[in-house]
Amino acid sequence: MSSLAVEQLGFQYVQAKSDALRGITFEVPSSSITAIVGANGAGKSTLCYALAGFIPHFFKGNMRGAVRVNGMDSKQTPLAQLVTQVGLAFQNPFNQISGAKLTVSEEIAFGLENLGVPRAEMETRIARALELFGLEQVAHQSPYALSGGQQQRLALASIFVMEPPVMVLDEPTSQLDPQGTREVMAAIQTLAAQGRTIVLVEHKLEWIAELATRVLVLHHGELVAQGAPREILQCADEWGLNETRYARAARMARERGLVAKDVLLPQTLEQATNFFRV
Amino acid sequence: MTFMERMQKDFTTITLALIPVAIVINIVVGQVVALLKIPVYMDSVGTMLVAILSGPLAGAITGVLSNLIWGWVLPPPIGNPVAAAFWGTALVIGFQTGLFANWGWFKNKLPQSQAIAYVLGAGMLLTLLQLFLASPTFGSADFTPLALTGVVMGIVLTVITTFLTWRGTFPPLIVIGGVLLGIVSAIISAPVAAQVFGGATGAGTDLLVALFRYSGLDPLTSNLAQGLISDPFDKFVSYVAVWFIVRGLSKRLINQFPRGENVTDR
Amino acid sequence: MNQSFYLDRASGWHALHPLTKIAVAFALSVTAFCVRWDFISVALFVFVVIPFAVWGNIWRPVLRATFTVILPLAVSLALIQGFFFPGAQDVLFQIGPFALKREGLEFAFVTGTRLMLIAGAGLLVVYATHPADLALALVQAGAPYPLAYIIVTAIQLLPEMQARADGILKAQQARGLETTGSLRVRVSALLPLLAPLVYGALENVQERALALDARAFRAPRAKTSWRVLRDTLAQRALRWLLVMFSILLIVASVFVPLFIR
Repeated sequence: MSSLAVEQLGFQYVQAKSDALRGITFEVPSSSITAIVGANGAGKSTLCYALAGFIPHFFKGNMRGAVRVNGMDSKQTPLAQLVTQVGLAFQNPFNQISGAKLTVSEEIAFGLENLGVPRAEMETRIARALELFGLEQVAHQSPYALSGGQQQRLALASIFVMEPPVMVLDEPTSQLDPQGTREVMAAIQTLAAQGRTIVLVEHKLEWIAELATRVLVLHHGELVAQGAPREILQCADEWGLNETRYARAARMARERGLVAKDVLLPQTLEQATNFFRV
Repeated sequence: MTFMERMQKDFTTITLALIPVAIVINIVVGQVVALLKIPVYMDSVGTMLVAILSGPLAGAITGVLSNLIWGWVLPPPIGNPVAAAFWGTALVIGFQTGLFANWGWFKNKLPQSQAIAYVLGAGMLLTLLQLFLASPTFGSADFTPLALTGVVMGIVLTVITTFLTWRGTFPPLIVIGGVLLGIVSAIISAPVAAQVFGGATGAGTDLLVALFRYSGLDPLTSNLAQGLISDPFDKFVSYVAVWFIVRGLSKRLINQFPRGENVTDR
Repeated sequence: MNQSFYLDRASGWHALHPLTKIAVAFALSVTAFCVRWDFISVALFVFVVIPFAVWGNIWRPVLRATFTVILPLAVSLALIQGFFFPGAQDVLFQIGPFALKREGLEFAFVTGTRLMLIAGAGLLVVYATHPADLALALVQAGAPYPLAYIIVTAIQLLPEMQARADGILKAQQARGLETTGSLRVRVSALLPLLAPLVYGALENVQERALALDARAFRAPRAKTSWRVLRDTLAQRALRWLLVMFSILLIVASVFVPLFIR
């Protein structure tokens, strides 16, 4: 069963000279982590906006093809309804704070208030979100007083609490330090383990190799490859991506004839351990 | 298009996200200008920005909320209840700027000769207005230094703006828009200043009011005269500032606003 | 970071519903405008505003802020009206060509104290009401839902933006930007100060809007609230009485000449 189906999707921003996306077709299976990779300007963010309904409902431009969210055509469905199906979080944690709320709990409640969830139900849902994202200690602090990693976890919690079956995360760790990145990635893993469908845009290929069940590669607005992480990441540098340190080490070893040529390059620590044992 | 449809079209989420930012821009830009002791208010730049990008209604609402928040929600030294009383002026600044923008006044598209003619005309109107206000015809005392200052400022401004128009630096119609808006906002502010505050607002412009009162003008006319001297300059300078701000925004961002076409050519 | 000017004190005045506090301030202001007695504003300030401020344990900031606002205004008012009040006859003393007149000073006193009362009454509300509660109360009273967002966000953004303005000023001064001197120098300092400030604020607007929509901000259905405002029947009755009283006073002041000022 697939949660998201994309058919021949194309998009051109208003007054832009060229297409941001062209002829993109793929499906996202339920309860999976699908990663999207690509160089800067490849159209990753635009694709995220289209998956979450912000194209065509927020960004002006010319959309072709279709995005289906649990069977609903995103063009025909109002944005306020789509966001209960697909949650969107993005890069800058600071800008995702609504600004309208003065404590972490209230910030998490904001989406529920907008959806008209009764207060009694809010209480349990907020408590669960605080616990899952490790924010209990700061529940009564101002969102602006949190660290970057905490703010990004707050952003994820604020989307999570609305209980969308699919969550689209556009580079949620790009502005975080390694510690903040680890915190957020752990939260993403927990979400997937609970049966959420995750679409993750991420630059750090180590994490993708570790977490993703499938990888899509965008290049100049087109979908050029998709498949299992280890196979897809073999030719990372062709698409302008930084290959993982394991792949780089293995490639150097192979060039010096230290290992067999027909073995796939490792992308995770575990794969590398096995690779170099041969 | 009905009023409700217009509201829905203009009050998109990005408009709503812009309004609080614009309110804060009004306040902070006003503070920076005051800090530099530049003799203008420049306290409506944010309101004008909303009016241009999201239409007259959004501009008007930003203006009103801005002054009410400034006056009543923020305590001194930032907040000042004086501001709240002038919500009507702020409303007109937002609405009128939105209209000007809808008419294409913030685009650069007049032929050069026509543009220069417009700017010269507006500059001369402004200079004559200053001359008239400081003359015995209007008041009763002899205001040679005041008249001279106003006229010299008017001429200098005319020369500068004509030169900049000739160079094509900014759209000529914003000069006219600024002067017109200044006149209108002076007319709306004067009764409030005279009635509510007895003619004083605690600002530096009170000196001008005192001067006019000394010349024998009644309270309302004194405040009107003071406004007609201060406001056209202020609104013109604000328009030039806001135009430079808009010009520096990316086209992609501008186009996300409901009235983006007010400043970009489609 | 300081998010608001609200002073968190455990007082009975703080615990009142925001609309009750606003109704008190409104009734005070209306009374000051409608009642024709020169000392009405002073009386209300001394016998209502100050006791309430003491009750709320905020009398110090209320008094300080009131006088910060009123003092320059009062001085200006006294000079303009004292010397140039139309039709004034009673000269108190003469300075060169200028005559200070009693009628003008009286008018300045009435206007000045009235503004002092309004400022004091407003500050009484602002210092004792959490901005989120104020916004929520307005929305529950029928104001459009986005109003709450606009008020609270503006209050939260302001200190952040002022800090940025301060930082930019210091940074540009360190690079040799002149911010004092002739008017020309000061005007040319404007652009390097304002450009980073304004663009910094504007570049976030689109993402903020995205974040709002992602949280169903515009969902066309009845909203609920996580925050709870405490209200009582007694307060409702009091508010109703205060509003009726104000309306009656306004009507009376139009029809009964005794009240017109």
